[in-house]
Amino acid sequence: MNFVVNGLILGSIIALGAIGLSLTTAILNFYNFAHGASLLLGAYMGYTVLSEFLPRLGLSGSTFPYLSFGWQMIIAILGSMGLTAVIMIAIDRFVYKPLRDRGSGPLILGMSSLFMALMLRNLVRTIWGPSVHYYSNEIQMVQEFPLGIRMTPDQIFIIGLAILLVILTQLFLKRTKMGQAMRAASDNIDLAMITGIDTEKVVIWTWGIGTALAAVAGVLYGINVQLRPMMGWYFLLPLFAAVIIGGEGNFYGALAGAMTVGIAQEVGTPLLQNMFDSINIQVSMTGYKPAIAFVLMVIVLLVRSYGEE
Amino acid sequence: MNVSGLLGYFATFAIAAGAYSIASLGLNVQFGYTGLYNFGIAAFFATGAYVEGIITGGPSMEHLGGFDLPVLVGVIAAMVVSAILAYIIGIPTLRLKGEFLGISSLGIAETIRLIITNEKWLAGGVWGLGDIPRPLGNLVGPKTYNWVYLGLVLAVVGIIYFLVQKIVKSPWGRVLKAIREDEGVAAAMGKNVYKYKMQSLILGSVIMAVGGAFYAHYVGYLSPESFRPLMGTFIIWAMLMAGGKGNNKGAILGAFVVWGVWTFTEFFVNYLPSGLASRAGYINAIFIAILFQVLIRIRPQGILGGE
Amino acid sequence: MEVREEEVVSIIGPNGSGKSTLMKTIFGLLKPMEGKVCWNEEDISGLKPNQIVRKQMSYVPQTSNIFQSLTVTENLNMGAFIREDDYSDRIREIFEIFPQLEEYRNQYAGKLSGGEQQMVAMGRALMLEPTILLLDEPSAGLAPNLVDMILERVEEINRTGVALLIVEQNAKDALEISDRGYVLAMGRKEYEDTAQGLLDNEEVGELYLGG
Repeated sequence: MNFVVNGLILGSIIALGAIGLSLTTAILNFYNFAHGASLLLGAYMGYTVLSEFLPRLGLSGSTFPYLSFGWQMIIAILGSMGLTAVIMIAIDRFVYKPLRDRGSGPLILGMSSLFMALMLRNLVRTIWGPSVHYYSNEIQMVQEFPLGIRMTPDQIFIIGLAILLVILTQLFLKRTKMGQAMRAASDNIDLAMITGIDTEKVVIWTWGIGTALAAVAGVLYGINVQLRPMMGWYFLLPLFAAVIIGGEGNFYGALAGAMTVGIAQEVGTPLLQNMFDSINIQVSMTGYKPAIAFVLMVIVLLVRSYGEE
Repeated sequence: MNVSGLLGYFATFAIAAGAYSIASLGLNVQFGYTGLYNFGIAAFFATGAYVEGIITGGPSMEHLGGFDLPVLVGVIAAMVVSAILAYIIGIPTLRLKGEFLGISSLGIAETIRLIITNEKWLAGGVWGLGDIPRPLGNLVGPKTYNWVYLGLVLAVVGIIYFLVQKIVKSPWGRVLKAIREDEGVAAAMGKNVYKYKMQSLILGSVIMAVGGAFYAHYVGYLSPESFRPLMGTFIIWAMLMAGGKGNNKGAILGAFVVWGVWTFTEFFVNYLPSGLASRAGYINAIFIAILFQVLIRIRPQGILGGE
Repeated sequence: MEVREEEVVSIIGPNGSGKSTLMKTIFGLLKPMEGKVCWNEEDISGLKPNQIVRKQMSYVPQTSNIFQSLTVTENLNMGAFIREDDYSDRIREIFEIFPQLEEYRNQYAGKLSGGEQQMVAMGRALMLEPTILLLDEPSAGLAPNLVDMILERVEEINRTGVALLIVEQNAKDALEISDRGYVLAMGRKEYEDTAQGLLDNEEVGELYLGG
């Protein structure tokens, strides 16, 4: 049961990243390999606000009851969303847009973003060092819930915030004109242009929202586990898997895909471990958690490619 | 540093660049001539290196092998294993949009890295795999050995260059180029695009594995660290793009140029203030990343330009 | 070629004669190889589609002309994307022309039938109250009774003061509701006349109207 809960926590973090990736993939027609880097950057931006910026203003030290952090974390999350979005929009304007304007194909853009991820990852290593960081040194008490569920208060916060952001994003996409235009552009970019939708503006909004959500995902992962330079890279396959399972540009699909990947990674690991143990194969499955997302993705691709024939 | 030291340094440099040019030639078959985006070169490079290490290495209690078999056996085994790997990754992706090969090959590279990290019995795990012999090592003394091995590597580079050049000029190679230019047109000409792409993917991956095998003898010791995305995949992309995609001379030239830039900057960043010096590798990676962005923006056809 | 105010003009011609290409060129999706596109005596060749819509021109492409995953109302909202004012009156007027759409206003457009989708597409294009509407094969793939229905709506749209430029396979039907017509073949203008004139022209009839 607890594996499922862990899966849901991981799934909500992946979901925040996957929604943004799904939108940018559909609207810009390229797979952004630097989306994992948005999570990474988000986590470290949050860290900077929390441990550099706020203490200098003499604003630190409080904690919410039960949680390992205080209201400063809320500021850190908002700051991280803003900073990450601005950086990523700037990268789009100065790196990807000139390539797009020149008519470079989606794969050249994908490759450019892959190298962008490499650069950002090493920038993080250069600035913050290769070792891990934590937002807080406090030890969280695990609470017992019915059905044998064990969670820390922080984890409840993570799931709660993820749900809140998903609802807000959905409302934005449904109710506002820009949100509808984003859906329209992801549905049919050519028609969007003919209709008079300012697609460049839509692109900027999409980057902003997509990367800001990814930034939150990064902070939440930092709260739940830790901050390390490779975290963005390790999220890349789960993110792609979620988007591919859910179908590019499909909001609920990305959500369902993320939950599938999250639960599969957390539940699948012990399940396979038991299976291998029972047939006496000595293998440690915990090391293969990231590969589970990949295997899921390959299965979906297989099904799709036989649909193509 | 005296002259012989400098020359020795150059030999080591050229051996590494040679091994990388083999991988770069492999990528050129896939990307330069067929338009396939393989973001998981590390998978094939690592497979080649590890298979070579296991087959030709001295016996070890720690991991599978070594079987102490001749180099040629190792190279052939490396080629076979990597062909199978390429085939497996090709099945689900080559009928779909090009992005899916990119994403999946990236996934297979990560999975291979997990395997060589976790499976101590197979590949020594994080402790790595050592005791990889030096081919033709008994012919000369250790002092001049690097030059002998360099000769061997360059001969292999030459043979592969010659073969790839022949292949891409053949009717088969022309079909690959047609697929690169426009898949739809190639399909309309009655070509089985999927089959050709698969053959190209396998051929390229087999060449990468040969590069990995010769890399293994060069370092003598393998660890999962050597096949991180940067050193296993990105740097080889940078090499091909720098030299000129779709140009086999360019693939080789690019490998030497980028490896030269890499070695030079590595040398150079050692003089950074001590705080930064420990992070020199990261700065070097940033440099490669920026170089690549500039390249695809300013000179997407590379130094020599493609055909 | 030209279209005057409040006029209906049809372009007919065999497959591959360049009809759709012409439409795309007018609307800035393709660059003109030679010649110019002028509108209200202003040269608009080379303008981007999002600039052209601001000149009160609208275009309904032949295929994928609706946002499938948006509702009918959302499709109309998108049609009015550049409008800053309150356009709820305009939506009401469009529902008057296409009463079926009001019924399905909250349905996803992709779930509607072919004829209804065509109405959504035209409704979307009318949101900006254009002075000219370009229709590319509005009746393609529709059942014969729906073809008549769609062409009736086209006449009705014209009565509200909108000029129309139509490319049609069903050349006869299209000419019947048109004022004038052009015959296009191999990318060149072969004939031009009043619609009636073209219908009466024996050569045109034999070659392009199926006798």
